[in-house]
Amino acid sequence: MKRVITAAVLLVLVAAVSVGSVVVECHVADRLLQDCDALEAAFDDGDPQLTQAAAAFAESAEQATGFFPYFVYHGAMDTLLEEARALSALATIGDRAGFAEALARVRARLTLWITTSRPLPENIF
Amino acid sequence: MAITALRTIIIYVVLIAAMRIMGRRQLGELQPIELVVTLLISDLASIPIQENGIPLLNGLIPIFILVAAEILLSAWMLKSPGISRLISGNPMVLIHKGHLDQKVLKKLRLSVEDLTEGLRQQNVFDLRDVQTAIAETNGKITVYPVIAKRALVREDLGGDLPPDHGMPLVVFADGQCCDWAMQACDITEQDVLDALQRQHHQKEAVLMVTADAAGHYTIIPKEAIQ
Repeated sequence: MKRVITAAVLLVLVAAVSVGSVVVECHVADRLLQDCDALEAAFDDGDPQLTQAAAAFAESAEQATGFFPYFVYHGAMDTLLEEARALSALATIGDRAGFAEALARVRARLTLWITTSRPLPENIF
Repeated sequence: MAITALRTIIIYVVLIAAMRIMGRRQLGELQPIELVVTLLISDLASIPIQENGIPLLNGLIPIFILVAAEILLSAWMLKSPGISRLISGNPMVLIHKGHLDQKVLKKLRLSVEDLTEGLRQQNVFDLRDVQTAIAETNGKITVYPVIAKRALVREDLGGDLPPDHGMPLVVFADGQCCDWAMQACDITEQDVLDALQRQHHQKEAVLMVTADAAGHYTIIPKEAIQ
């Protein structure tokens, strides 16, 4: 009976970790996508604060995904953070085309992240 | 490198805990579900050790699920013989009253070589020596020989049987008494120490002591090894 209880507890823990990780991943990615929208608006409007906003976005992405390596492939994390940091550099040097491209890449990566982390049939099979 | 070393230690500890939780069934003859779980766990455990870019949890979570599933399924099989039959199958009689059932042999996809190999492993070298042979669910073949080939037991000789004192067990080794063995022999630590004293042995100078339920002690002293 002790073993059965241990097994049940293990399953509950696994379920909690699995659901928790999906919820957190999707929540953080959603928030970062909203930040991307704000960055895009600032970019379109030619906002002089764009450089600071891009730097703040990179910092915010780094902080928000600080504990992601516990359950997300480290390679996927590194690519996203690299591109977020590139946004700030591109805004500083005034490379508008490069900035737009990097922003599109960050947005695509976040969208893909949300899609692939959900337990949907296409991801399971 | 340090990460790989630490991950290996963590996985090692988790696997030992997993085997302990799953119990002795996992270490003995493997039934189909135990074989599946053991194979999968060994494969899963190696992935996060080899690849540092994969979160450790990605390797541990499937292991936890398999361990839990194995325990719950075996508990269910214990309660329900139908489930047990469905998962592990039934033992099948290959040879009955000396007659080889070729239909069963075909059903089990066993060749004659497989059968004779299984029999040889049971020290049977002639099919005519077999009264009954059963293919067990773990893949082993159990043999019941014909009466002429069965080992003689004390009962066959008739007469009074001597008292059964049970199996001698190691009750003391490496300077420590073994609780479960003392319990099985119905003796206490004091009995062991008294036995040592009676035979003029110092506890520290003794390698091991065996005892049975009748209070027979065998003491093996340590030898001076150069």
